[in-house]
Amino acid sequence: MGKGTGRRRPRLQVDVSDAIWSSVKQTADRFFRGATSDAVVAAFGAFRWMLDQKQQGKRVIAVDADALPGRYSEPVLPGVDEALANDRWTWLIEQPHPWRRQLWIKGRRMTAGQLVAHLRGNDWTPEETARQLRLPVEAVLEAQRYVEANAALVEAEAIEEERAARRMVTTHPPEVVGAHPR
Amino acid sequence: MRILVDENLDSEDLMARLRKAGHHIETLAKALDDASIWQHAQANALVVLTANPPDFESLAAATPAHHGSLLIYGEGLPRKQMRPADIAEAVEFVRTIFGEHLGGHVLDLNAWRRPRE
Repeated sequence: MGKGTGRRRPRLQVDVSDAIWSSVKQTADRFFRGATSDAVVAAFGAFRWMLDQKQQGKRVIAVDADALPGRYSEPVLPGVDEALANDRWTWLIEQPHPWRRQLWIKGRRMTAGQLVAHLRGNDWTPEETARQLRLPVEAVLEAQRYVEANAALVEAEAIEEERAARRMVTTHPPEVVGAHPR
Repeated sequence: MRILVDENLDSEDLMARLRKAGHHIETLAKALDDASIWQHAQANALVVLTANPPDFESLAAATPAHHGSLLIYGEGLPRKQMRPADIAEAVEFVRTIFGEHLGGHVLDLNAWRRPRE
C-alpha cells in the first residue's frame, strides 16, 4: 500500500463487563492467537449469519453429527474449526473418575501422564515405548502432545498419587545399607 | 511372589524381569475396573502391583486381610521415575524381608528401591 493512500479503518470501542471481557480474552487466546479484534469480528460474523438465517424464516439449531438433515446450512469459522479438530484426540479419552481430570489411553488403565512417565523415565523412544506397552506409536506421540499441553494438570495429579501412596503405606523399609534414603 | 501387575505398569521389560526373578505374574484384561482387579487379586492370593495407588485406597482399607499391595507413584524428575529395573530390584528387596507372602501389608516401592549408580 502506498504511503498515505490507505484509508483509516473505523475503530469500535465498547464498554463491557469483566465477565464479557474475560470471555472475549479467553476466546481470543484459544482461537485467535490473542487477537481480541479477530475474536470480536468472528463472533459478530457468526451472529450476523444466524440473523440472516432467521430473517429467511429458517431455524438455527444444533444437532449431533449423525443426525444431520439432508439439506442444511453451516457457518464456517476460520481458525475455530481447525482448532476444534485438533482437540479431537484419537487415542486419548475422558474417563469418569472422582478426581482425575487428565485423559486416559483409550482401552487401557493408563493415563496419558503415566504413559509419558514410562517414556521419560526409561529414556525410551516413542517407538520403544509403543513396543514395550503394546500400543500404536501414534498413541504415544499423541500422549506426549497432550502431556506437554497439560503439564500442570498432569503434575498435580502425580502429586495426588504420591500423597495417596503415603497415606496407604503400612510398612516402611528397614534402614539398611543400599536402601533408598527416606 | 504371586503378583498381579496392574495394566499401567505392564511393560515387556518389567514383566520379563519379574518372571526371570521367579515370580508368578498375572495381568488382567484391558481396562478392568478397580474393584474387579482387587477382587481377582484377593480370590487368587495375589499381591497388587500398581501405579494407581488412589484407586485402591478404599478397597485396601475395606479389606484388612488382603494379600498385599506394592505401590508406585510418578516422580517429578524423569531420572527419579521408577524404571522396570528399579521396580524389579525393589520387589526383590521386599522379598528378602517378607518372603513370598505380603498379607495385609501396603508398601511404597519408591521407598524400597536401591539408589542408582
